[in-house]
Amino acid sequence: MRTVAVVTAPVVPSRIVRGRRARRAAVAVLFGVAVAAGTQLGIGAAVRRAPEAFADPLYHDKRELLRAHPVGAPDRPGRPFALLFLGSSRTYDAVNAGAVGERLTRDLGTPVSAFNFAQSGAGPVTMAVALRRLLNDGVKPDAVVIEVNPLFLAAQVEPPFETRWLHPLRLRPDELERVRELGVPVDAPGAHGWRGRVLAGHEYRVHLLERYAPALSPLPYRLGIGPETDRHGFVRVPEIPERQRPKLLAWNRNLYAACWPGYRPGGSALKGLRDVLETCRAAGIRPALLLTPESTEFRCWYAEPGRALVAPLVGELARAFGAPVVDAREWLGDDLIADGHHLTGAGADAFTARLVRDELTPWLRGSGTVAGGEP
Amino acid sequence: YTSIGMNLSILCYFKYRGFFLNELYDGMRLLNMDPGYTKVNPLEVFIPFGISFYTFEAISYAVDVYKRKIAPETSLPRFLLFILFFPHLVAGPIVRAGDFLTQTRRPKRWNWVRVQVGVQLFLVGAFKKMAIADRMALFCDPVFKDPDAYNSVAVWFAVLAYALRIYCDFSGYSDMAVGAAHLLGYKLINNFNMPYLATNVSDFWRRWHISLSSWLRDYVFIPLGGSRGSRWLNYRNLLITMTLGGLWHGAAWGYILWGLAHGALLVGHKQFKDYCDGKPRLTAFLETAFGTGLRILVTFFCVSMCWVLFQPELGKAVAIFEKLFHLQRGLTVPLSNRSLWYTVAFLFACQWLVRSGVWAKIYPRVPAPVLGVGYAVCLCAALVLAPDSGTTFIYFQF
Repeated sequence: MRTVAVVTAPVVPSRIVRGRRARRAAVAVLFGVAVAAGTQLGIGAAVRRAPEAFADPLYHDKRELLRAHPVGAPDRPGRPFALLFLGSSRTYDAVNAGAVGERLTRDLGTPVSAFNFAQSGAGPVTMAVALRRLLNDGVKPDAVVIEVNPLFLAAQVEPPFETRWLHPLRLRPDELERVRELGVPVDAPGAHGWRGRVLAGHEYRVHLLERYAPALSPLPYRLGIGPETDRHGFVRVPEIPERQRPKLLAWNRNLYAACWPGYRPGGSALKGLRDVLETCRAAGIRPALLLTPESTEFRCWYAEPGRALVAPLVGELARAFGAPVVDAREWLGDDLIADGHHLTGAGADAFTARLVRDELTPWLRGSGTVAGGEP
Repeated sequence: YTSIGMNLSILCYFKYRGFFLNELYDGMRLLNMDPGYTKVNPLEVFIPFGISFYTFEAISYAVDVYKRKIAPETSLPRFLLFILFFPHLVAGPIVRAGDFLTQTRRPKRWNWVRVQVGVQLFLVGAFKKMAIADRMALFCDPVFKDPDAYNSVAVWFAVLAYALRIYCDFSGYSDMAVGAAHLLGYKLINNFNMPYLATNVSDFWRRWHISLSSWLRDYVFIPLGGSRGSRWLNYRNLLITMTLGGLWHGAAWGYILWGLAHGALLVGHKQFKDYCDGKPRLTAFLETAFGTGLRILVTFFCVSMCWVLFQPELGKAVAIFEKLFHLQRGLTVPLSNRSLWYTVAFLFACQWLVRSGVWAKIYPRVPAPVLGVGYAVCLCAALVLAPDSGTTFIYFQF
């Protein structure tokens, strides 16, 4: 007969099993709370070290480029004449600042350096904020060319159209009041308060994704500038196939749908423009106003009589500040405009050449501003 | 009957009065008659939060007491707790009195295991809502708002995104509700069981909004006769039950047609099942891995098509169907579709982990600190992935 040894494992009392499970559960939950809190606080600390890199990447990226550029250098004798361009993506794509600097240097016989500080979605108020920041940061150009985008002047659109892109998170706490005075209603973002320390991962989430996981970004557009932007701040738009142009035009017509019916220029956007001009005057900077090219069809979308009021309105403002107006809306053929108001690479080349030849050279030569940067 | 009548009257007054009055108005105008009143503006109708849910709970209580399944509750505070318990008040799950009231009598003690389960469920729900549902809304909302502007491919993506959105939105809310209830010492019914892995529409309704489908089965379908009686009676009962289920969701033809469409699908499934009964080779093929995958895809496709109807504006649904089945040009997808495919893959991987039993094997062996890190990652991911413009829970409107 075979004997079989039967071994019975000792029964673990159920209260001990319950105790182990409870301990495991407690450790898991408390550890999780600690790690989550630590992560958020860590992100908050990292953001506070470089707030603009996360809060306003558009401005930050251009500012970083400007640091290494002659226009960003301190205003000292011997510095090339510094010309700065402010505007939206229209100017971003249109003005080849490197070529501007080269041509003006050749035409005027004195070193001229130009930088394109245009930011996508920047209207008058965004430009006003950017210029003030640059001046506070020690950047003082000798002349500024300021874009006037008729879309952002649409007075029948309230709040102003650029509100769509001027997210309060982009602003510094001390800029909020000024922006409200200029007609853009902004509430203080949660990130400016305790949420910026304790829930920084949530408050800056879009910017964190944009920077570290762009494939997961919920935005259809980039927040900062990309590697395609050259060291003078200009980006060359690739040539657009003919069959794609109608789609892009239709997209833009839809995007700016609120601006077309009953279009009339004016409203709170003028306050922003005026602020830019006043800032220039106070800092001793020569300003010029620029209306960038638009395609034939695009120009027809603005309702009359509003469309015809743009030039007189801008002219009146410019005269008050002694600034010339460059109305380039009808300068280029439609084949050089990608989507109604952004220029192709070839369009930017043609536009830049004409801008320098016909407007900037006579302006800077005739105003006597070009003599090593001395007014 | 008095109790049921009163509950339904209150629900009908707040939720359906406007709809029926407006339909009557349109009908009378069509017949060149003067209705004698002006149309009700749907936006001005006040609907108490969660009325559809707690009305059904009150009805189920009355019926269960009448049928002596449960004893009547004599404590008003306990009854009010049953009806107004905040985790399930606004959007379910629809709780049965028998399940809940017994829990109110048990003393509550701090229990770390329960807290862990509650926290886990809450975090998973928050992740589904913030990181998935709200992101899917970025794909589908612009397209559904103006389908004529978009091309057919964009509309197909939007339909897929909407199917994911409504699942993650509603199941996310349910998970958060169940998790919150666990933290307070109450166990609520799980409302979803991987519905998009259903192999047929019948199976889908055993996995989707389980508390509603079981309520409709017990208090509408079975009293109508259920599956007893002839085949045609069964079909009639299915159609009536599902149509009422659609009407429960909202006072609009879109929701009613959605319910009716699901009823028709259930009828169709029954007929197909009867057809397969006499075909063993076909049945064997459908049981293979390929056949099962095919059934899951077909079910998902049918359910997604029904979701197109699931909105208050029927005209928009028609426009969407036109775009889906008649190739048309227009704007492309509002966002890069990489995000959409990552989401599909992630959801599929998670559901496979659970369904295959891999998660059940791994979970007990994971060290507690690693679990804790997992919770932190889930929370931080939800906070980071939530898009700029969050949306309210879809089922709050019901």
